[in-house]
Amino acid sequence: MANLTIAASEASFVRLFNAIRDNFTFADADSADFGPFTASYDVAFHLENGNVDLRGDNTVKIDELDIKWDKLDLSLGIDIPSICIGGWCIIPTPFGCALRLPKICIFDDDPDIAITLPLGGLVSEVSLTGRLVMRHFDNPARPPGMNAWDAQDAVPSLASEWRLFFDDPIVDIDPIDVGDTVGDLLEAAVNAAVDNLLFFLPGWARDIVKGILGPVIDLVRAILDIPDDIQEWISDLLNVSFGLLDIIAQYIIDYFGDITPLTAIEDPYPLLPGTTNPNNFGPSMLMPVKIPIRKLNVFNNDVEMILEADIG
Amino acid sequence: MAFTDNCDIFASFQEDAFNAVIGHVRRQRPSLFNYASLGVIANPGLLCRQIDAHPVVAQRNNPLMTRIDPLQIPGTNFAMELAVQVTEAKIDFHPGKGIALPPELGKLAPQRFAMALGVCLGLGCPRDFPVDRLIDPPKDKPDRDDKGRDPVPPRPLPVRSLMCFCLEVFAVGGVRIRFYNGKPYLEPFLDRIEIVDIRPDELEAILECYLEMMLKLGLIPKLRILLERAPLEIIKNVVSVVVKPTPISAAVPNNPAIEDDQLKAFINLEVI
Repeated sequence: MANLTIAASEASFVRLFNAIRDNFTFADADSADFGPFTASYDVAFHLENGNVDLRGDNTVKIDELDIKWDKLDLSLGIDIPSICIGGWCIIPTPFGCALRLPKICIFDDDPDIAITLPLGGLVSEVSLTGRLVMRHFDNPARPPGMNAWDAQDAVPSLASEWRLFFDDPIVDIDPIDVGDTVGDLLEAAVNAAVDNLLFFLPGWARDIVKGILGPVIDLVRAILDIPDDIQEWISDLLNVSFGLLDIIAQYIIDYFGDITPLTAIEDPYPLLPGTTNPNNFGPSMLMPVKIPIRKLNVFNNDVEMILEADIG
Repeated sequence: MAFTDNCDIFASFQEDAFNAVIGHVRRQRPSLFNYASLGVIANPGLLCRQIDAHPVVAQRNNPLMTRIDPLQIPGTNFAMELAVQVTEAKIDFHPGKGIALPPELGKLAPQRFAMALGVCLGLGCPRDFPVDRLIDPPKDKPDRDDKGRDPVPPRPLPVRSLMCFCLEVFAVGGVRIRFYNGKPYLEPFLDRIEIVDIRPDELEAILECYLEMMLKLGLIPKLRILLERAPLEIIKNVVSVVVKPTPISAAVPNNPAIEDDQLKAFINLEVI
């Protein structure tokens, strides 16, 4: 039988989980060149809610955990084929053109228009399943031979710890579903971008250019090779082309499985804190009394989490 | 039945774990268990039992002993070096099969622990020193009025070794939860103490009383453990709760409970 047993009810475990869930934040940005267009994303989200279930097979399942997108900006840089108007000869002579209209070329840049679709405010769901595990953490910055008291006093602390993690959790994330209004968003953004680009042209020239282009959104669709379903295309761009889904899944695995322990217990554990020296000589404070913790194991059943430890 | 059927957090310590903890406390904070006058502190070789301290105690210049006054010799301004040491400490939770209590303490009651202590007392008797030299000659003038002068501290007599005797002391007690500054502590307490085979009985009673006071007023209060610490370290990230001992009920008749060779504590978390 273990020296020391500590059990936490499922409700207590939920509080433990909620504390680290509320500290979870994710932010990332990246860009890529897809040939006819470039794309980039700038995203941030936090986690809310979630049902925590301790299960009888020594696993823990958390589902209906909401990914609340605080920011989900997708930017597209589109290269529109160059269009030139004017330059026509209005006074031809046998020796050549005596007078030409001025020639104006647009869409010379690459990309010509850059649009950002603010897709934030979405909610996705994630679930994770795993076993709890205690891992002993020896601070790599701790010099060899440093005792536990000096390690505790160091700023920042170099103390060893037992840390409670989800062991390599299985993460299941719903694909980012950008919603059916994204087509309207894209069309409005493209039209605004083109108008902005042509602002310097006189009205007649702008009408000519737009006449040449036809419906701008159709042009952009053709350039981006967007099928009928814009919504699906953008979702695929984020989920598959950028691999954002895999990036988020790996981040969640690392966060709960390796980076952020559900809790950490200093080892050796300072059972009695430092206290005033009773004598009028020597240091003003006595060192804390530390108890080495050995063989700290964790497991759960369907109603509680149990830690068992031996005193070294 | 689950550990937490009637509480949020349950913690239990086996008596072996408790004894291991006491061993660590003795080695890391020896000044809780060893008391001596300054002459002995300056010369620890005089002690009845040498102190087995953790090496860090010396590295950090922590004291091996707590200073106490030497034992003043009545009618003089001299004193004898003195040392009191708790050299052994072992605890046995109910049902208490590990410590054979003396008949005076009877059978260990439910919800109680038995404790066996080794206690050594040493007195610096200057047997090899010609104390006659220290006797003042008769005064040829009357004493001046010393009223208002600070008393002169007694002078310890020189000593090369302490006269020692060691006792086996048995005690029974329990553990309770007490609140200090609004925070719950696990606090051991003593019911009774017994020294075996001292005669006359009155001397035994005096020594028992002295040791009981030393344990109750000196050692035990320093072994209180803040309930928020050890077992609740696991929920230290949770800042929105306060710790409350689980109230006594039919389901939790004792909290803390001493039974099955364990000390058990039942704790509730209240959302703030």
